[in-house]
Amino acid sequence: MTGKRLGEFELAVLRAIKDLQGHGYAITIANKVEEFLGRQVSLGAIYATADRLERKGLVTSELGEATPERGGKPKRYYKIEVPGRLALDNGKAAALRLWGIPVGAPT
Amino acid sequence: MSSPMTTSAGSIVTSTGPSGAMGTFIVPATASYSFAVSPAGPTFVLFAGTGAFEADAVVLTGAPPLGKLILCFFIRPEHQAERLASYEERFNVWRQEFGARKARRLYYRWALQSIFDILTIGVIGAVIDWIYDRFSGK
Repeated sequence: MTGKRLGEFELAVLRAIKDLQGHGYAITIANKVEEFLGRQVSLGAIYATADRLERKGLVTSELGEATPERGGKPKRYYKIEVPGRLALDNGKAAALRLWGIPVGAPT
Repeated sequence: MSSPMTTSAGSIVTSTGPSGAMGTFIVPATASYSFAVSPAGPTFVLFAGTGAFEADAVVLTGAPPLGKLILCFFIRPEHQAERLASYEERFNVWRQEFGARKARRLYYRWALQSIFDILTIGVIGAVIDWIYDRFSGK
């Protein structure tokens, strides 16, 4: 069960990875998370959290193509896995319960 | 070849060639240049004034080396190239938006913030996981 309970920041990163549908890398994930949370986040926070999510088996990553704007260095793309989707659903359900909203009701 | 443009030394130029390939460069000398960018295999040729010189299709952004060095201590070696490139990519955006000096200041601030986040998320996360494992009975 370790790690299946996620904090707000982990849920935001997981949601960003899900929304980016396998095309998310650190910069785009950071932009999404900033959008969700309404504050700036560092790349270190994104990487540290993505590493944790990957260790827990919630996301996977793979190196993509090298691009000129990154000095010929590749991007690491993150993809949400089935346990990640379940963890995200659990996180959403917990938040809804907290506010007394039945799960499945329009939010 | 893309259409010629004029720029000054130290500025960042991104240009797309006829094949759709894109190159990003820092104009390297102290004079102003009129040039066009032409993809030539893995490298790009910058035509400057009457001469031409080749530049690798590598971004020479000038992100602060000390900042990169500090970050290296907190990034595992197998991830350093890819992750430092992400910091460099952000540095490029700041440089275009705010100029080199402010971009360098931002880079240092973000490097320090990142190190703090790497340490706190790593340590606090590990402690929470340990407590949860220890007392949840699973």
